[in-house]
Amino acid sequence: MTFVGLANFVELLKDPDFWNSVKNNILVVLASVFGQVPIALLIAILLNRKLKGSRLFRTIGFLPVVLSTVVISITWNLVYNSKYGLINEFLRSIGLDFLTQNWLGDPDLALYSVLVVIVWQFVGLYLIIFLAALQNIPNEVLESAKIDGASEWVTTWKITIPMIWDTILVAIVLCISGSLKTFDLIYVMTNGGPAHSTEVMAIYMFNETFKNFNYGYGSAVSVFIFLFSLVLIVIVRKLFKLKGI
Amino acid sequence: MRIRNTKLTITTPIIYVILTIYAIVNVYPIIWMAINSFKSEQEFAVNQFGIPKKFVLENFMNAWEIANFGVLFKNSIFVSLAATFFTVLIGALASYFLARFEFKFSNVVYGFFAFGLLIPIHSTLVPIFILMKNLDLLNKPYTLLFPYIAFHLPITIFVLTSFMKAFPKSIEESAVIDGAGLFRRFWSIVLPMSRPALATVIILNFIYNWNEFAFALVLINDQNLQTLPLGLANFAGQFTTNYGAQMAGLTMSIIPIIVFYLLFEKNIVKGMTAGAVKE
Amino acid sequence: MRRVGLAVLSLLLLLALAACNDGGEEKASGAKNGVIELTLWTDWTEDRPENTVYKDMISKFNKQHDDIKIVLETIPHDQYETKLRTQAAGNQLPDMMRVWPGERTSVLVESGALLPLDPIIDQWKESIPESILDDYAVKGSYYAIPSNVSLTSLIFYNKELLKKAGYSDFPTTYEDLKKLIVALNKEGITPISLGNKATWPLQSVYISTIADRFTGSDFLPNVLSGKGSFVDKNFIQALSVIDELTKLNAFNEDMNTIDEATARNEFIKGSAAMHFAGSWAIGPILDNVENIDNIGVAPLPTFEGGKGEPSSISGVAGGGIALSSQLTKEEQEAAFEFLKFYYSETLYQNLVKANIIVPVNVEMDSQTPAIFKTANSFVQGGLAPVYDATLPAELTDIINNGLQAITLGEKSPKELAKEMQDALEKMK
Repeated sequence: MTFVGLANFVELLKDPDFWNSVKNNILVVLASVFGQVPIALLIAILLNRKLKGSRLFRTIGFLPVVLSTVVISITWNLVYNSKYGLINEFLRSIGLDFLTQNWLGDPDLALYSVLVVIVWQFVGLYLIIFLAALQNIPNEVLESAKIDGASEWVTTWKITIPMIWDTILVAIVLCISGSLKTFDLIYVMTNGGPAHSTEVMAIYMFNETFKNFNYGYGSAVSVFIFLFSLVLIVIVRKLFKLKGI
Repeated sequence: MRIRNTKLTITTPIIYVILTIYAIVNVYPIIWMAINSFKSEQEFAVNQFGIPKKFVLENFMNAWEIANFGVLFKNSIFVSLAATFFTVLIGALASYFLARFEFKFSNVVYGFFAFGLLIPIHSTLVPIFILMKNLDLLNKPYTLLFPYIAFHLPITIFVLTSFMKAFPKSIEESAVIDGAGLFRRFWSIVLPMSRPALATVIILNFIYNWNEFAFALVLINDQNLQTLPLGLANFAGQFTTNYGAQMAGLTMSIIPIIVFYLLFEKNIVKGMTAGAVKE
Repeated sequence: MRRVGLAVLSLLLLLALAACNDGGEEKASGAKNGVIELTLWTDWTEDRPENTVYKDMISKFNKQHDDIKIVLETIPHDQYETKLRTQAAGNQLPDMMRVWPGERTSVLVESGALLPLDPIIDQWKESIPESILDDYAVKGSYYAIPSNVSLTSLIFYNKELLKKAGYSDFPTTYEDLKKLIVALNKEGITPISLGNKATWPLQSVYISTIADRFTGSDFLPNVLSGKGSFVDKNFIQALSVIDELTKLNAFNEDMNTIDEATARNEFIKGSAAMHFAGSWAIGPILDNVENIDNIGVAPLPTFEGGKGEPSSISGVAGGGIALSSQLTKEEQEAAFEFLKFYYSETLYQNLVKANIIVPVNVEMDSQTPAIFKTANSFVQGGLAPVYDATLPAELTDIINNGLQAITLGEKSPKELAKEMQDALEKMK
């Protein structure tokens, strides 16, 4: 092994495929933060009320977290398939043929199709984290708000969300760090293709390390991922103006 | 009272519609998996959507025998439970101190745990492998506990700390006045009050450990020490995949997680006040 | 109630701990009580006939030898390289391991991890053609013996569907093939079932042979040693075939989102008239197709103006087992003995029965399926190099993704050829 100084990093910053993976990865982060967190929060608040069957819904909501990526990938591939997939079949059956797409095969669309699955896969994770956090709000607080005549909407915005603010921040940090090293699902579902259109940093790193036998270069990518997450998280923390990460 | 009732009648159906749509999208893959686990290889080749013409139970037998599922299940249960236990124990202690005490560098310590979240798992494979080799910790029944605990402590600590920070301080303060020591306060006040968050991290840890693949792949060679995810990967070859057996294996492998989830899930939503009063 | 969760957890933990004690013995390889133990890594995880043949040979060897024990460790194919790379970085390779020709072997050789088999290679020099043995040679030394030959470019076709388009024989020229594709499309039949999600099929199955037809078999080694260039009229013409086929709508529209096995299943189902694949597809097709007489197999057609041998087909040796260079003298002897036993007449005969093409001449009886016999006879036409078994990994990556980009209209054949040449020059 020879010490190459910053050569790997210089090479990395010059590689258009790498920057393409950074761009895709940023989209994954945005979709996760603005998709997973709000949806999970909404469903958590809905399920936190006394609803019939809420336990069943909670369990079902959590299912995607439990499922193996292999199953998720095969089933969603079948949903998206352009020839016989459920989405296109549905569009054809209601006469909207012109809306049918090659969801995963069109490089302009593939990433967005994958993003839907990524958001879907992890909503359940944040759902149970939020559900747990919601238990921290004493009933008396909510009751007294109701007696004061506050609508449910107002209670949610003015009391519930501020009281679990810390947990929301944690969820966002988990979202960012998780999305920046996301690997499994995309790797199984599209292999990063077609034509690099769904390649993210961790896949780029994995291919360089284990397929092109370029270990040092792969490590340089990892260092980049690490620093990139750190910067993003520090920014988020500043935005939230809260102590602790 | 009347006002609230009319309001409920408007919103409840909408809520049910939202939840039902969400539920259908979530249940579809699992049903697909279960149905296909009964199809023969020939039938899977021609029919991936419908109900099998003939239900083939052999997939389950094949999965159990070929993949040596008995041994794999035993190993997975041990590794998942043990790693979960230690992670949550260590994580709860650490979180308590991080949430409740301001000490020098407490932010630094918290930050260090955060670092663990940021490293892509595949870039740690080689260094961890070499480290474990030098410590002579490869191929042991407890090998996987080390990386599992280390890599899942961050999320555990994050969730628990944020939860504990939100406690009203008053309850603990009254215990201090009553003369309760530090560990007593932790054990009989903080832990019970954190039950929803504890249940959450227990479930999450268990699932992560149960499904973990990369470390199990490189740190274990002995077939008698392997865990389930490796066995499940065995159905896919270079050019062919035995989908029937794979789906049967996957179906069997998620049963323990669902059972585990149901066991702890009740604790997530059971109000903390109820728990505190009982104590 | 509060401690229930914790109590359950600790109880289960105790049980599990107790249950696990018996599994914890450490197994070190090497000599133990006079028995030499050798670990062997393979990817034979699936329940397929050929894997059973391989495993049977090993258990037979173990039964016949009291002083040597082969311990099998199987790793799923998709993860094999990850595990091998990691253990190699930690200097912990197994005593013996399954290897694939090309860079996957040469990288290991260059790091000094493998033991040359030169002392025993004479054993196979007579029976296995030199060109096939050479697939496992690096700089003049041999590192593994092939157990099979993977032909990577065969055309499987559905006779009934071809008849619908007015063809009773499979076209032998590219011009006729294109006419067939047009005719099939007119009938509303998908001409070729392709699953290129993993990006290697267009390169390994299609380009390996198509490019050879245009450029001749010397082209690839010449370019790699700097005596030629990828920016070559003939090579670009070969790449253009993919472009042309795509524009003719020869492939199923979901070709870039399904994998190779799924595409094969579509062909088996009868929803496409042709499927281009390697000899690995013979077994699964024979196993799963309803009427085997309806399936034919053909070589790739000839291309007008091509410089290469019109009957050759791309193929590469497979099934080799390499030895670790860290074996002691004693272990080396034992490993050599194993290889001699393993790569024997019996192995090849049993493999043929499992419909695997082997590098040696084996008598076939009337039981042998016609498809297999036909495919096997193509080996006589001579083997052309397979691209991903010859190119450095980085270039394979570029051509795989580049061919996919061509099917998407995002890159022209010329651009891809130039990109490959640029990368090659940068590597030097």
